[in-house]
Amino acid sequence: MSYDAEISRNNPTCFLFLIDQSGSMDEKIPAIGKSKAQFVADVLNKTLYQLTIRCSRAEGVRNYFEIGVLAYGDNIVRSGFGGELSEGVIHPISAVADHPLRVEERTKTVDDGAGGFIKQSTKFPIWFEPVMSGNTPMCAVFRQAAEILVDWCDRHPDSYPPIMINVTDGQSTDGDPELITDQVKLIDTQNGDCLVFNLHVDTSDDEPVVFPVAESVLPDQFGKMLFRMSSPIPPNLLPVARDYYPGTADGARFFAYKAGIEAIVNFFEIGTRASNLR
Amino acid sequence: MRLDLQATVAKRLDEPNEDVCGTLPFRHRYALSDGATESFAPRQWAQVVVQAFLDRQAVDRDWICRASARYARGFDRVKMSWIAQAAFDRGSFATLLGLTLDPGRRTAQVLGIGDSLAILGDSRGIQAKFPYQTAIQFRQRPLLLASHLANNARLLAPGAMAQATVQWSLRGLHDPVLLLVTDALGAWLLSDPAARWVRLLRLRNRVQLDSLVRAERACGRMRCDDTTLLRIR
Repeated sequence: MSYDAEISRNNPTCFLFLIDQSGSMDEKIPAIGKSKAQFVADVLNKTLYQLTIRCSRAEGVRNYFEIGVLAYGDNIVRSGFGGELSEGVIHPISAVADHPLRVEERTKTVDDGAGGFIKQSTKFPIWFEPVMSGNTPMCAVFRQAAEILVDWCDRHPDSYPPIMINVTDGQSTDGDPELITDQVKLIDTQNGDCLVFNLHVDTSDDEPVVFPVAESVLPDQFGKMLFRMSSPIPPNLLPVARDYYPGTADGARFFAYKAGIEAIVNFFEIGTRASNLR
Repeated sequence: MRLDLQATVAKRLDEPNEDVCGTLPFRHRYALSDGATESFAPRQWAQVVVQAFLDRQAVDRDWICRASARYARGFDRVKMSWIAQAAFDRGSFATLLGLTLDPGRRTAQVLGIGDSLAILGDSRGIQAKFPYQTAIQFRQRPLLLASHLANNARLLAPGAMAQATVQWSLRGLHDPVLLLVTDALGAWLLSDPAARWVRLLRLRNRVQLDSLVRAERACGRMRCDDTTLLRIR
């Protein structure tokens, strides 16, 4: 259980994102004037963009990663991808790169290499649209994720274990998800157990709790439950976590509570930094 | 001293090796570059880096600008798909291990950027290593030469190039040998330096390096990565 497997095209790893699309995700984040759902969708699109770029070479996209998005809300769980990707849940990164919902033209400012800056046209793909409606079927989504990950690990016994990133702003409305999460964390490859990362998003000005080492620092039972549902940060991601949060202790859980915009962005960035690509 | 073995073993048989080496014997100059996997065109960038070092050994802002321009001329960004364009904008990254011998003064100067390793030894064993000293250092994320000038700020900081350079005296060494190796072989060597140094000195040809690398990969003692050795003695 060493989390040190090289990630290659023969032995890819898997990222499975679970995105809460319940009605409460409609709430605006005052600092940016966007809803939680819109901001999470922006960060997820940026994360998918960066994962595809990491695998992209002059000759094409290499399948180091397999990616899935499960969206949950309004009593249903569905693939978070649309268009060509809506069939099935997990897709090789090359298929994700080939099938965004649309590609937007944007302009960015870049260093011109001679001490100045120039405007450069750039294309930004969109895969995931924000939706917010109804309740939070967290047990249902974890159950479906477990089935997907068992199948994935059976097919990739030597791979770096899958990483499941659950993003939510509220409590489960279909029961206690803790027991199912315990079962997800027992699904494994020869290189380690599946990793479950939980991100709780919030619009308040409260200081977020990021990578806690004990549940006692969390203010309520919901936070304590999400802590218990989260995996310890694996050894290969600890240095990355400490780059962002220097106080991160050995044994800290991959969990952020009451995360605002900065913590949300950092969480996705650190959580998808599985390295050792070959 | 002269190059007596140059050999490389790719990580996959169906793709180009991303390690590149080059020599300029009449100037006693040798270069090795390992293109990083997470790059747009690592082999092309490694080729540019090696040629740039053979042309001029002093790496500075102007050196990187010229190398970047030479690399960029190989691509047409405007005609690329969004994904290729984004990866091109992110850039390519590579190590540079440059060796310059001065036969008159009997010195070897090594420039080491990234995790490719130079080792100096003689009949008694390893005498010096650069830039790493232990196998565990290969777990770090190395600072690499980037194809975009803007991504080389740390390398161009005052004093950075001096830190990346070492000069070794060859005086007093009996039958000195210099090895330039990429990271998989470097980490393997430094995990058991006494025994493995001897094994590398005994290699007679490319086929023997190929056999050694495949055997060590198969039993998990060497990472499966492009693997290159230059031996000068």
